[in-house]
Amino acid sequence: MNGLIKHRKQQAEDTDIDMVPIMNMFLVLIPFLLSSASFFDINAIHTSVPVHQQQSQMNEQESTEMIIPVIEVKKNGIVLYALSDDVAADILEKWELSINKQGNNYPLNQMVPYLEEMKKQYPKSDTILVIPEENITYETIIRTMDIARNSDDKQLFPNVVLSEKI
Amino acid sequence: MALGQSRYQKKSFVIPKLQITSMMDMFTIILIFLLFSFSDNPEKLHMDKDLKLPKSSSKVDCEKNITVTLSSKSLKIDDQHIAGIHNGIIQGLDTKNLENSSLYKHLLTLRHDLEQKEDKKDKTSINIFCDHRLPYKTIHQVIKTSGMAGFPHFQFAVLKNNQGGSL
Repeated sequence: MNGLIKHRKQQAEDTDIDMVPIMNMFLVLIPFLLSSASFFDINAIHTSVPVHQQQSQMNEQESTEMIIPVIEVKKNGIVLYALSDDVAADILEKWELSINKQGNNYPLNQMVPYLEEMKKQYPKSDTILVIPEENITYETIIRTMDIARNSDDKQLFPNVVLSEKI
Repeated sequence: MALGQSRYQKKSFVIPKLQITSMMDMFTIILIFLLFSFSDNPEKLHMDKDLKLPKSSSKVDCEKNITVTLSSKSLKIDDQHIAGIHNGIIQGLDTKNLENSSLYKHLLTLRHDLEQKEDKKDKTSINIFCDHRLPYKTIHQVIKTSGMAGFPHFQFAVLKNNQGGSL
């Protein structure tokens, strides 16, 4: 009986796993993963500057009613209005809105109902013009673009064009 | 006496067994962490204390293009120093004569190089890595010059909104 127990103990001692190959594999994997690790998740916002449009391209767009909302980010607040070749001037006037700055912050969320309503009425429109004043910081411009492109899960105006006041 | 002692020492010497269990645990944790942060397209960006990207809700990945870095102190194209920036003003860039700036000349050279590769002729945009505190007048000078050099499309690099860190 004692002999049987001793034999079993010996068997248990012999079943140690050799970890050295696994360690070797880890030592190869870790430098590889370190070299391809990205610790900052960098995304992008596509934008463009106004470019001269060809006449033929403009004719193609005449068939649908399009409107271009404009966001002017000023020192004292935000001014919203719309531009269009297809919509009458008196209708465009109704889209004028001013939002004053609250302390040091721009109440950008107040633009959401305005932009949602515009998108609802002109669903084909996908371009928005952002005109910041020269001292507006890059962070404020990015926040404005974020609101203009999406509200919650809805896509509003994904094509953002940055311009200066002419 | 001395011979007996050395024989005794030889007998009692046992090859030490390396305890690698704790090292295995450590490696496993590191491996899992690195697997989660693995990226097949890591953006090579030199850590610069003058560059802090803004956060955004954008979910579009940053494509590999020409990179223009605008930190609070310098303007670089693909890691090549082009001009210094002081109080938001790009040194040596005359706003009334952008075509004489080194930025324009450098971008024009890149444009000519790209025009030889026909497939990328009109698709190439510029990735702008810009410090979040810089005013629009600085960014506008860069995008205006880029537009004149034949690059009207841009990608503004931003950090994912849920990230706590900054560059």
